[in-house]
Amino acid sequence: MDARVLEPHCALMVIHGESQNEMEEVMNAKKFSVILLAVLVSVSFAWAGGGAEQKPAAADKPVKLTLWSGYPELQAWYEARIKEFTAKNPNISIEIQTFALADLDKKNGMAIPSNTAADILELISVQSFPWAQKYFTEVPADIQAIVKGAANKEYLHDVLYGDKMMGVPFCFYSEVLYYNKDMLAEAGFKAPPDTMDQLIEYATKMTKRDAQGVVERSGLSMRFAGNPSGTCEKFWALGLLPFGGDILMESTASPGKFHNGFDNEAGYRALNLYLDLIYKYKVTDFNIKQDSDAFGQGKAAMLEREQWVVGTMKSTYPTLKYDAATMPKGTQRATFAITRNMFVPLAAKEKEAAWKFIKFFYEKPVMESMVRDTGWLSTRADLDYPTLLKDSPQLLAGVNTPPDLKFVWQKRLTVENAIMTKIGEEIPKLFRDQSLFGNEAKIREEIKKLGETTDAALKDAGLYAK
Amino acid sequence: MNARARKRLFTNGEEASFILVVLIPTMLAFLVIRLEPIGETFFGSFFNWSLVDGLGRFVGLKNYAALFGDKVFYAAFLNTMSFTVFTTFFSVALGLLFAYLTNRGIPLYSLYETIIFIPVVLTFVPVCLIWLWLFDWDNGLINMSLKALGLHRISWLSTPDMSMVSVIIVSVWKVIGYNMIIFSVGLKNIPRSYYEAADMDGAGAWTVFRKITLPQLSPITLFVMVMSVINNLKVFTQVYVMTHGKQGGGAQVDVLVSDIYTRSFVYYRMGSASAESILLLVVVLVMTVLQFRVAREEE
Repeated sequence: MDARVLEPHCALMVIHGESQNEMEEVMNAKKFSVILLAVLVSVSFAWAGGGAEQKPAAADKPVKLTLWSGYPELQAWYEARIKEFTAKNPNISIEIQTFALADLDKKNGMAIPSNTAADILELISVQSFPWAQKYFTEVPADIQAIVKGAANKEYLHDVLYGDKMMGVPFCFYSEVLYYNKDMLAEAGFKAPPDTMDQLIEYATKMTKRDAQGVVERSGLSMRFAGNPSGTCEKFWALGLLPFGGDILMESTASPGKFHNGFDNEAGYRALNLYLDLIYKYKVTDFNIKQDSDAFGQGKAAMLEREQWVVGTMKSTYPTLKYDAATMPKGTQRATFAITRNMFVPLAAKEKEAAWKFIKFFYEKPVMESMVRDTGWLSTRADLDYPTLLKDSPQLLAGVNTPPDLKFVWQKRLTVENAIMTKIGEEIPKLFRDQSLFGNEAKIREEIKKLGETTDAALKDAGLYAK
Repeated sequence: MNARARKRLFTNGEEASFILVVLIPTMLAFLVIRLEPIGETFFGSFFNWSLVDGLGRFVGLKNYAALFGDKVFYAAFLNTMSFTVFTTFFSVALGLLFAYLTNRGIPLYSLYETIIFIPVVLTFVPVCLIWLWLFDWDNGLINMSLKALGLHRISWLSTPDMSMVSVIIVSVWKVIGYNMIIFSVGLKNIPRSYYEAADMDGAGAWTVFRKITLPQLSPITLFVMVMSVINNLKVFTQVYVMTHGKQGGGAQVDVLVSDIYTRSFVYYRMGSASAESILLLVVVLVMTVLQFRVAREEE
């Protein structure tokens, strides 16, 4: 026997001159060992397979999810909810990453088409419109049933594309008018302004100026800068909607097609109102601090904003005495309604786990916590708002709405965010142009130009019809 | 290895092959990281291309033509040019001035150099945020100081023009130290004998500066100018942080790079953004070539 073809230990025996019988015994023992090993492996596989029928292995495999949100102020609240979820689902870990809303929008612009976005995206409606139908998964049937059963029907508007539901609208917000109670009383008013004329009157009276006439406190905080899409939102709610205008209007002749909704009398009145407030009534100026910080610091008597302000005031300006009212009435009483929604991109690797979290997130206790702890309102119709809001009565203005209040929704167009951004970039330039003040022809001309820009964007997207 | 052997090793083909082998990895990296994206951007500029819908139909030069009819592009272009001119002028002039002053043997000159250089190494975004607080109308240190002195407060960020001025101030402050160090190196390399000769001839300080220092510094000045112009044409961070997305009264300033960014990731119009990127590339190339030409003619 050639030692070179033997296993090493047999070859060693030959080298050491041991007998052939001994070698055969070793070989037999080896064959037995191999057979035994094969039987053991087969039994093990069979056992493992049988066990899988009772409890799928995949259910316990560790899953890591990422969630992107545009609300950094909610990071801690999200983390607490994630902790509750992972206590029940120890194999799923979720990392929450928050960004400023406008930055998230840009991040999505890069990440969603390149399939590198998070597993769960929390987006406001207008941010989701470009992507919803092409890049997100449809909500699983069981979750659709839960949401449709629990939510106010109108709040499903922004995620329904025909019969497809592309996201879970868990939160809604609308525009309301916040006012400082002390300043209101100081100016001799007993109730917040109810009409646009009253709004001007109140704002004028509540404005405070120094000896040189420089505004020290705005009667009404106005949005001149910031995320352009948000600037457009404010103009929409304070300027256009009260006079019957809109950003976009659906064509009556060609349903499904749109045109600008402000190159009209409402658009003129909206821009004219802004110019009057700035240059005629001088209720604010471009230097003074604006927005929620100004309101919290007592540098603005009134502020047109969404429900999140309540959470911010609670945490940052807890001693402020303020309340909120429905937006004042012009030719109509209207406000926009927008939802915050959860989406799962098609490219997400762990869709099942992602939807599991969203399902948990929409449960009543989590939504109650959101309303109570963060000041955001839920789309669920079965929450006891008066009890939940006993510490934040300002939020009731968004819930107890008067019967004549009209909610205006966005149109779910892929170009809608771009259009709002464009208007939001252009409109502050018009506010700053004092030559427009009192010049009706010029105001109408600027509104017309802005309308043409909007219609051009719709035409580019094949969505335009007069 | 003796000198003759070394000479034999690096001659003709062998030398060329060695250089090529050494350069290939760098050139490949340059090709992939720099040239390929430029090529793709150039290609994409001829298409109606959206981030949402992908590469669309071929539109030829339509994206370029549309830019020339777009007032936002013109505003961004003019803003970029004025930013570049003012920031380059002040940062180069002040960099040279500080280098000149700290090279005159004043006590503690290295301390001054360090203080002036510190902004260069600071991260720009937090620096811009700090400047925003300094420029604040109500509570900013600058306006509070002006008020305390009985002067009028300045609307640093309330109009587009003043926003631009504020951005230029921050940009100049950030880069002066870098320019100063480069000029400082140049100044130290000017032979002392030139100054001694001028001194013996009775030349005044201004004449010495004009006739000796400036001509001797011309290669350094060219380098600083070219780098400043290129960097300033690409301005983005300070403009974005200080004038875009700021809650309150800040007026937005558009420059070419911020406009490219907006077209790409807000409007998702990649074809238009690609065309604008190519135009910016052309502007940078033209400006650089012009500066080299002017410098050569001066030489």
